[in-house]
Amino acid sequence: MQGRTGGCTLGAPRWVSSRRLSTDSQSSPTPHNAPHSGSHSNSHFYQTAALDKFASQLPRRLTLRQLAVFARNITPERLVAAANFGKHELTVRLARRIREFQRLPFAVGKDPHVEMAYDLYWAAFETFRKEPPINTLADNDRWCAVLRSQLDRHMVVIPQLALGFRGASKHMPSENVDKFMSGTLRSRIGRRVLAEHHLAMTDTLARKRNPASLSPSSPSTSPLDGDAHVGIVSPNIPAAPLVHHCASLAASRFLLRTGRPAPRVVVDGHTDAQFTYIRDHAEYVLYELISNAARFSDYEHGRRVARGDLPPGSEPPPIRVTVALSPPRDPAPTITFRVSDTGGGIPASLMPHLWSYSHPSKFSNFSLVPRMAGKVAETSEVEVNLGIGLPMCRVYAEYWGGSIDVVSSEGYGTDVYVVLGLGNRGENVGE
Amino acid sequence: MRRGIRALLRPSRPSITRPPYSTALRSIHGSHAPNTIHHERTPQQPSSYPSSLVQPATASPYDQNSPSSDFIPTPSNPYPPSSASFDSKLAFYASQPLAVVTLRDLLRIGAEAAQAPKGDEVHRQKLVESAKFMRSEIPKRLARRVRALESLPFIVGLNPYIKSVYNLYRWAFEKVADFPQITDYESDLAFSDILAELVEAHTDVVPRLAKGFLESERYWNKEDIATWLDKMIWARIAIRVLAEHHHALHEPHPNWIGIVNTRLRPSALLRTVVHHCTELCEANYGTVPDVIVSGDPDISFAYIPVHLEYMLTELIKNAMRATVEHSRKLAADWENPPNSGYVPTAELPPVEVTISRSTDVVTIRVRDTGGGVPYADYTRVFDYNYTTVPRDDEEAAAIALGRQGAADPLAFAGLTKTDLHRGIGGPMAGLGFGLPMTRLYARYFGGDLEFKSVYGWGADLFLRLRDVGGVGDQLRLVDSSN
Repeated sequence: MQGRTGGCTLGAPRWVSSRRLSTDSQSSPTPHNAPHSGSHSNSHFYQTAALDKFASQLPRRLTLRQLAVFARNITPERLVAAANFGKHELTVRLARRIREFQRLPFAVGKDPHVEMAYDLYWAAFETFRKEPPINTLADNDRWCAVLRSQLDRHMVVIPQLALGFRGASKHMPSENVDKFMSGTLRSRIGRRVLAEHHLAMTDTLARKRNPASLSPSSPSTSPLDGDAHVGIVSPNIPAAPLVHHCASLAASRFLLRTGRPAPRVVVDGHTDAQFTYIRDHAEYVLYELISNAARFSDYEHGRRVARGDLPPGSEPPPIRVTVALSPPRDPAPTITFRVSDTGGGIPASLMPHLWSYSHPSKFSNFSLVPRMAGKVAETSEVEVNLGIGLPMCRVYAEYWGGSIDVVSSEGYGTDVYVVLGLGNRGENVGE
Repeated sequence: MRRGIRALLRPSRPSITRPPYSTALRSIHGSHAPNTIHHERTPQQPSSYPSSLVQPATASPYDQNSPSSDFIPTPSNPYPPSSASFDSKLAFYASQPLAVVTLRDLLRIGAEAAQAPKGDEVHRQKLVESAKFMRSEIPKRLARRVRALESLPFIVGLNPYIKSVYNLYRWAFEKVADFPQITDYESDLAFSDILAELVEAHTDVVPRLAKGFLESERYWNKEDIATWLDKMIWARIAIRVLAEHHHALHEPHPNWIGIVNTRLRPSALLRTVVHHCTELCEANYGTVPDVIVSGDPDISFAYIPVHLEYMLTELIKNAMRATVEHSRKLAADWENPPNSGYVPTAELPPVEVTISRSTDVVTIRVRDTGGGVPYADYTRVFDYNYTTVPRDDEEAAAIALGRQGAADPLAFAGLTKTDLHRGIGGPMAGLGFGLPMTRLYARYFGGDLEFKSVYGWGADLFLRLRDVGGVGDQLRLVDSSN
């Protein structure tokens, strides 16, 4: 994987150079100055046979329960089998995404940012495809190294696509842009789940076999993870502490950004509820929604104080998060989080664009954020509002069969309803 | 109780069965009203309400000759045995295109009438104009309802409840269609009294339909019933708005234009609604949750108070019932607590109502802790006859027949006997009409009703209403939503 010669290499100085690529479009490769020899996408045209073999296979959807059960009973034999399954499955899913790229209008695909993402997909596909079968734990360690490097390389994909699609609505209907983007994000989440789950299982097994040695990359266990990890699945995450954790992350970001304390967050409903989920996913959604609620509650409160409706120095009303587990023995169990704020609601004119990736107001800040994994941990690096927080939340919520809904009471506030599917639901892999 | 609410809504408004003005007054001023010739042009559709008032009302060949002068129709015996002339009259009216009336038109004519002192010549002239329009418009709309009822499958039409509704509409149509053309103030008064009588007689049309369709569910598929009911109720709203508006014009009040209150405060109306629902809930369950109001209680907007009152009553009743039912269910499960978060207390969690507005939309959010609705049932919440209260066929039949002592879980259905909720929906709680009807009413004037569930805990209903003072032009009093 060489990266393109037109201005971005993916070696050590990647961060800096991709920032340059992103912020200064003059230096981006254009059809005139992009050296033909360096562009992978030109040579990919003749490699369709390899692609077809994989792209014609359907992804095998996993469920949270399958992930957990497999990880709980991990043995060296099972780990090796999982590695081969993952290798095949990742190759298939990448091939199917590459197909989607190829169906884009040429005008969109030839955008240097889109082309770069496309090249990254191809490189990953080729890497996975050519990787020999895994037979031993040593093979597995080599395979894990490949996974780690690919996870890292693909951090630039979201920002690149976001930049590439800024002008895409000229060439394709914006519903199609949204469909492509959410499909890409879903598929991406799925691949990351597979990769990270495998890495986590490898760590679990290593600790089982040698409890004294803690691999440096082993997941840190916090009370928020509930019972011990099984792969990347956290059984019995306590809901209320998770909300408070996300609220305090959001509050510290808010304080840094504004110099003011964030509005309080209160939790009601089933406050002692626990649920089994991928903590990163739930955390991302809650953090994003609470951050939004804090920003708008604070803004609206300031407006009211300025107008003289409220005394100066008064506190904004708290953000209220209501937690609810579906009744026991429900055939389709769920956990619901309702985030209610008093941020004045959303203007009716903006509602239709809430879930759009291609609205002009979105994406403009991506040039400042070259790498993005879509995790809360990285939000300390992200200084700006990207405008795709909500669409990203939707992709996460829907991944395990849940949903997200936003209802605005204009002049008062907003209620967001996040439903997370629990139990035995298949991945929503974006197809 | 209901009289109490009415009185509070509009303190000096006379009841719908208004005592007639003094005959002396009528005879003095009656002759001044312009006398219009009706047969000089072919029936023609006025493009809007006011313009129609300066034109002759749509004339019908049946206007002047009542076919059965000896026969006195009643709701139970609405038409003479031989109804050949009735049928051709019905066919004529049902084929006439409806006038395009917007709420703005109603408000304009109402405002003109309201500016003149009551009994003043200008006021009377406006009333006569309005009456002429109603005289031409209402029979067409009633005729269409009769036709719609005739379009039902034969077996459905045989249902006693449906048949009684059919008879009511036939009777109403004849009454209006046989009324002579409006010529002066005196005939307006007589006509207005007839409208009042019809409005009163049609009060419980919707519960009758509800019962009728509950009984004939198996003869007709659900979607067809829903489509038919939507259209029927939608058209009924329009007829009632026209009739009640005309009637209300006779008694001008400050801040009122006909049946529209231009400074309606939802929070004030909510207080009386909560009071009413609290009594109902207590009577049925022996307990009732508090209702907490937040947001901006000072908001006021232009709307039809009887509509808002109906919608709020349904929402509050729904929230109270769900809260009590769910907390009883949790208490019953308490022996071996399967769900987290529940601590039995003497107090029921409150129902929370939040009132807010933007430039032209008022939002009222009603939040309860009634356990919500499974996500798979989301779309069914607005189905007719959907209810979260579990009931088996026997119980359903019991409500449908209004049998004494219907099963206890259906407590609100038992209210049908005591609930004096007359005027719009009629006594119908427990039949599952509350939410679909409320949404129809909200949509009628450009609003909506949205449902969101927090399954396992509670639900939110968002009622959005447009300030009809600002957007009246867009609000046509149409016959159906499509």
